[in-house]
Amino acid sequence: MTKRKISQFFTYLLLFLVTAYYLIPILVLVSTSLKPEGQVLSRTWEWIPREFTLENYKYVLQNFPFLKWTLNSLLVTSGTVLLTLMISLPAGYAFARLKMRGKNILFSLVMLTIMIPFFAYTPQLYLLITKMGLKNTYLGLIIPMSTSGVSIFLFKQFIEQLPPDLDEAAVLDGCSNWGVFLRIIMPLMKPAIVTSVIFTAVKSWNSLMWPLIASSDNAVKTLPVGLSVNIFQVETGLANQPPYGVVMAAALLSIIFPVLLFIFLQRYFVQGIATTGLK
Amino acid sequence: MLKKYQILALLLALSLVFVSCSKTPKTAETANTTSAETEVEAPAEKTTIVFWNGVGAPENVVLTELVKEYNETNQDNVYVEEVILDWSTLYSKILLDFETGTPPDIMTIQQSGLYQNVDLGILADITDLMPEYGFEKEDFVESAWNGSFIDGKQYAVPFDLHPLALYYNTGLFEEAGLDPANPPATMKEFLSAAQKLTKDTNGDGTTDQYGMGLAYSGGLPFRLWMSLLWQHDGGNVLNEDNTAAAFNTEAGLESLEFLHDLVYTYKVIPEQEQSPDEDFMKGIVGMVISGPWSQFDFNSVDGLEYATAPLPVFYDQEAAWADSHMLALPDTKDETRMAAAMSFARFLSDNSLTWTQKAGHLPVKQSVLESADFKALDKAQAFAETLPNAHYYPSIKNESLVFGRDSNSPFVVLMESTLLNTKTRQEALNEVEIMVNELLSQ
Amino acid sequence: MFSKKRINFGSAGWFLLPYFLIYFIFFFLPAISILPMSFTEWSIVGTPKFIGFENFIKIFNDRYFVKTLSNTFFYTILVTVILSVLGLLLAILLNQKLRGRSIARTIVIMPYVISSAVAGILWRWMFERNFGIINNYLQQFGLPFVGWLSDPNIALYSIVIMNIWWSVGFNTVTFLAAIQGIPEELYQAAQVDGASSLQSFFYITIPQLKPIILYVTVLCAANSFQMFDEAYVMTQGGPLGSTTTLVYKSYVEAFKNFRLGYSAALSVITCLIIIMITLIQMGANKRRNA
Repeated sequence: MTKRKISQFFTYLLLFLVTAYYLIPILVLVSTSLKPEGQVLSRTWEWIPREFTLENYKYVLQNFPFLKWTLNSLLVTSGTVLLTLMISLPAGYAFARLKMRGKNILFSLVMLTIMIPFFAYTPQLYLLITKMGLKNTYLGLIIPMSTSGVSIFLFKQFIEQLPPDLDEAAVLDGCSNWGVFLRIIMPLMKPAIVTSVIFTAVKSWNSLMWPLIASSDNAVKTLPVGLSVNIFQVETGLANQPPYGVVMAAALLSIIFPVLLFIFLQRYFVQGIATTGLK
Repeated sequence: MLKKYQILALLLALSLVFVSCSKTPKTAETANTTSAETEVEAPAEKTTIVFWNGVGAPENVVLTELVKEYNETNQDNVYVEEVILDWSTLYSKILLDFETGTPPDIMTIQQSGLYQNVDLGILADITDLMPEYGFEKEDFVESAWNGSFIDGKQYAVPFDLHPLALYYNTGLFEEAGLDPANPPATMKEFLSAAQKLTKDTNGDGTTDQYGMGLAYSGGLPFRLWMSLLWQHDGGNVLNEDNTAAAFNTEAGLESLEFLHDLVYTYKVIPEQEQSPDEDFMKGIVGMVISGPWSQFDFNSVDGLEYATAPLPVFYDQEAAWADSHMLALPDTKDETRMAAAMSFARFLSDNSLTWTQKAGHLPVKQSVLESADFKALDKAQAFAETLPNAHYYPSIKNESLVFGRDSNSPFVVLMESTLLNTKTRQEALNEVEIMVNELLSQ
Repeated sequence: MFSKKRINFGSAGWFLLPYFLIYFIFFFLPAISILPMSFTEWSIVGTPKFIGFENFIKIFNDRYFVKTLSNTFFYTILVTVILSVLGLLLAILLNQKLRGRSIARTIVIMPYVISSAVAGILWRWMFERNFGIINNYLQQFGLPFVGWLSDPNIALYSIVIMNIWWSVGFNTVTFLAAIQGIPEELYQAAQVDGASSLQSFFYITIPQLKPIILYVTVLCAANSFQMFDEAYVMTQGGPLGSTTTLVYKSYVEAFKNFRLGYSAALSVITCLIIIMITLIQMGANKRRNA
């Protein structure tokens, strides 16, 4: 009993320390965003602002089309997530379960998307998108961000982890491949789909390089592009300093949606246990 | 099972929404009326031109205001659609969009980036257009006017100039017993001021206030070093026809040793300093050498009392590095749009005082420089005094390679080796001389 | 006869078609062009000029190439090992039935959703040598200043520290999801057999997670080998090239210097190395399975 208590104590201690490490920089972020610029530049660091101000938030929201950017980002992100799921789920299943000649070669081709740095081919991609008339459109942002094989790879690995008896039985019962995929595999894929949604959404939400080049037009400008071009410059390097209060306020405003998404999707991680654990 | 088909149908419907959404801006683009920041549709009879604003946050806001004003007031029948970019995106995007035949009609450019873009054939020769729109040589600061020429042809309208000068914290000057009305003008005065400003204010045995701020990396350190080099009689970065390095000399070494000594011998600059502007705003450093753009940040801090002075003369003569923002026309060969672009350039040039008042950069028109409104800007005067002695980088094709600001760029290597004390100054100079010569021979 | 000619919509090809359609046009076509491009001199405007192996020769003669390569490898190994192990441990910790678990999960994942630009600016500011928050506290404890980003021997480690905070969430989420797929009966059976929790970790959790461990390590290695954003925002590849990676260099060549052929050659080298690393990882995984 006592041994168990001690181990529980250490587990909580560990949990506390780990959480603290991840929380502290976030607190710096929050605290700075609530300080007036003069206090941000004080010599010593203070955790709690001497004087609270919402000026930084007001500045961001009033001087820039922040909502427009957010809306654009929401559109692009949900588009990327949907497209990625639609094309990657069947492909992941095929790679994990179906027989086909040249499958390994095709899978190596998928892996190429992970191995070639994105901006190595950005100029060619841009020229292609322009020729197709997709420049400064949502589709021009969504499609190139959906080619990543990360999700296919994840789905393949997940399905390989599932016991094969399930779908073998279904095939014997005369179920088609699509039937197995939709009725047997898909329901078991929830954690993997949730994971993929989180990754794809975060990656698309934050992606800067491609939208910066492909969507400088105000009509489709996404949040990261707006932030980095209109509010603070990422590339100024060491010489210039951005107005930290404003940067942090903009940063906090920009992570609201991804954090909400995670909080919402988190319950699926717990549900997984409940459904597989047969008691 | 119905549920699954419902989901599939939903997915399909959503994807259709995206397709239709994506079409809206596309059709708008072909009609050349993409909604700009102002969300005002241009009347059909006006000439719509696209303007790329690449000066970067936070100053770009000022240009945006000017664009808005022009759209509301101009009699030229022109509508300007602004696209906000940063410098590095602007320079790569112009190549891509020029290649695909969709360049903007007018864009900001730095004097230092002019040669490269002219060499690639992107910019239109506007030598003959200039007088038509009332741009005359006599109206401009000579160095800025000359800077807009490449091989005898003019490719840009000079818009501003930003030379280096000295910023000093007047409050800290007084505390240290220095006279804020008499800023240091020579090396001796500078050193003594810096040493007086360097102190341990709370008595814990470590220095917590320094005489000067200087970052160990980025563009500013080597621009300062070049300024010191140019302050020597006959000191030069490259040889006369810009084909080889000419900085590995007594003058180059002396300037480099001096900057090194400021950190490691006199200890008036914090070691490995990252952000001198920020430290200046915090009152940790008493002086900082920077361009007029820093005023924008400095003015945002309540209670920061500062003044400016021309760069002290450390050696034989006055000299300071400078660059300049210009307005250039990509070669669209469309006369109507080029005419509209020139009218817009004329407006910006006529209103460059607003740019100076709000963003700090110096005007390059004599009439503005002599105006009472400009004279009223006391912090700008130090920069104006520097104008006759402003030096651009030597004009070369490989500007971004030779004068680059990345970690492997030659002059960044030079300054980092010096200010982080990893090599002797002579070793650093020798190494960088080889690098520069290699790049110039390509 | 007829049934044989009918198209079989259930064959693997139909599952793969939608992806490969998009893949081919929007990835393969532009991406494959870096191979021929690496043998040319091209600055976007104008036509590429064929120059044979000159770009590759130039790269291997570059005085900083070896350093860049060793930076990249060192960083990749360090990050892959630390982030994979830490990601798994965090996932297990956050999967315990503890009070405050969901809050802790959200906090651990939160940094991962912050954009690289903001994360970089935030850490650059905290790492500031003379007056930054971290050194401020070190000083209060009587410790000397650390040049987190300005000391060439330390800067790369600082990026690793920042990454432990910023990107471990990816691995944690993946492992967390994968752990849900392990049938609980296995643990119950082990408990009945009197296995300790450490034993069930090594004999149940690890073997069950094998495909996902492979996934995480392969991705982690490929991603960290392509580390760019962190260096771009925090150090610009410095000081003295100590945080310049292959990808950073090819970015500078393409987008700052407009030497696209040279940049493409660097990308080809990068890609070949990542393929090699992945093959080694997959091979090692197969051997363990056999």
